[in-house]
Amino acid sequence: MLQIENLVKRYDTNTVLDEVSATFEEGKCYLLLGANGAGKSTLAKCIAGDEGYESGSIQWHNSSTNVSDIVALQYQFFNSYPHLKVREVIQLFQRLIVNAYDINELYTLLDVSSFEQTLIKNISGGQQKTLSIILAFLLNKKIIILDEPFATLDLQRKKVFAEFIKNQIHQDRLFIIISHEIAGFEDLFDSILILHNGKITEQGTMNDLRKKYKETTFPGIEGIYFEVTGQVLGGYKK
Amino acid sequence: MTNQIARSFILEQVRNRGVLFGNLFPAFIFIICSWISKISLINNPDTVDYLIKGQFLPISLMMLLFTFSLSGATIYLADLKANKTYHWLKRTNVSPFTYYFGMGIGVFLLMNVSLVFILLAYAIIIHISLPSFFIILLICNFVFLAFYPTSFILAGIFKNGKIAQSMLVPVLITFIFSITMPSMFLTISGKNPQDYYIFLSWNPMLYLNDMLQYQLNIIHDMWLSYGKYAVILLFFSFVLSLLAKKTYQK
Repeated sequence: MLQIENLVKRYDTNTVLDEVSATFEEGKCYLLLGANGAGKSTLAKCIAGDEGYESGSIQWHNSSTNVSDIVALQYQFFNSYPHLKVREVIQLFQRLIVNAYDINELYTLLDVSSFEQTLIKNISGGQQKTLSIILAFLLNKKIIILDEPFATLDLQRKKVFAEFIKNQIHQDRLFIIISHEIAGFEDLFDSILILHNGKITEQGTMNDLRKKYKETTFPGIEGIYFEVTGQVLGGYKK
Repeated sequence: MTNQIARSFILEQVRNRGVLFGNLFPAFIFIICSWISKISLINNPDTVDYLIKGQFLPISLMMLLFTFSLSGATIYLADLKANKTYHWLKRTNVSPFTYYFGMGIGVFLLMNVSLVFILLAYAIIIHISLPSFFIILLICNFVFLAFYPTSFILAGIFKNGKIAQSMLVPVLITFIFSITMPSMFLTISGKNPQDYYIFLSWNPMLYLNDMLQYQLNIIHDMWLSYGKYAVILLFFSFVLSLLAKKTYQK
C-alpha cells in the first residue's frame, strides 16, 4: 500500500501541493484528474523521487525508504540519446535493467516496429510518448505512473492498451494514470482522485462517486469532475 | 552492460556529424598546415621539421585530446543532465560508476582510433619511430585519464550542452595556449621553457607537450621523468574524480 500524507510541495512561494493525502492499494488502477497546473505531474514526480517536497510523507507499506525504487514514471516526452535509433535505446535499457519486463506484447500493441529504426531526434511527440511507455514497463516496477498514456493512440489501440493495463493490474501492480481522455475507459479505474488547486478535493471508487453525484451535467467521470471543480476536463468553467 | 553503454556512446558520437567533424577538424587542420609548410619550405627541411614537431603536431594532439576527452564528454554529459536521462537511468540497475566507465571506454576507443590516424598522417610528413609512436599514444592516454574526470566537473557547472559548448572555447584556449605560447616565445627569446614549467604544472597538457618534444627529439631532456609524469597525471585523475563525484552528482 502506498500512503501519501500531508504532502506539501512549493516552487518558491507557489504552493503546488497543499497537504495532499491519499492511499493507493496494489492490484488497483487509480485515475488522477485535474486541470493543467493542478499539481498532477508534480505529485507523480514526488512519488517517483524526481522532486523533493517540503513536508509530509510518502510510504510504501509503512516504510518511507526507497519508495522511488519501486516506481516507474512514464514521462510525456523522451528526447535523450538523440542520435540513437528507437530500437537501440530499448536494447540499451534492456541491458541496463537486470530483470527487465518482457515487452514483446506491448511492442506489437503500440506498433513500435513501425518506427524502431528512426533516430530519437526524428521521432514525433506521440512516438516519444510511446517509447516512454515501453521504457516505463521495461523497468518492471511495482508502481507504474502513466502520464496521458492514451493521448496519442488511435481508438483501437487505446482499447487494446487499456486491456493490457487491466491484465497488468491482475498481476498485482499498482497503476496511477493521469489522463484527460477517459471516455470509454471508466471501467479501467478502481478509484478516482480529483486534484484541484493543489488539494485532493474528491476521491473514491466509481460507484461511490456515482452515488454521491447522481445528477450530473455530463455523463460519467466528466460529470463528476464538473460537479467537483466547476470545470470540464480541459478548462471550461461553470 | 559496459559494452552496450560504450557502443551507444560511440554510435551517438559517430552519427552526430557536426560533433564528429568539430572534434576531428581542429586536429586535422594542422596536418594540412604541415603539408603546406613542407611543400612551401622545401629548401628548409630543418625549419619545417622543427615547425611541425614543435608546433603543429603538439597542437593537433592537444586539440584532439581536448575535444574527445574534455569537450565532447562535457557536452554529452551536460545534455544527459538537461534532457533528464538520469531520471530514467536511476531506475535501472546500472551504477553511476558503471555508466561512466562504459562511456569512458567509448571516449577511449574513439580518441585512440583518431590518434592513430593523426599520428600516421604525421608519420608520412616527418619521421616518427615506431617506439615513439607507441609512447606518444601511451602518454596521450595518461593525459586522457587526467582530463576525463574534468568533463564531469564542467558538466556539473554548465546547464546544458549548448552552454557547455560556448564556455569550452575559453577553456580550450587556456589549456592549449598556456602551454604552446610560452614554450614558443621563451625558446625564441633564448630562454629555457622548462625553467618556467613549475608555473604551468596545473595543466596536464604541459606533461604531454614536454614528453612529446622529447620523443620527437626537439629537446634532449624532459623536465621530469616518465614515472613522475605518470604519477602526477594519475594523481590529477584521482583528485579530479573525487571533485567530479561531488560536482556532477550535485
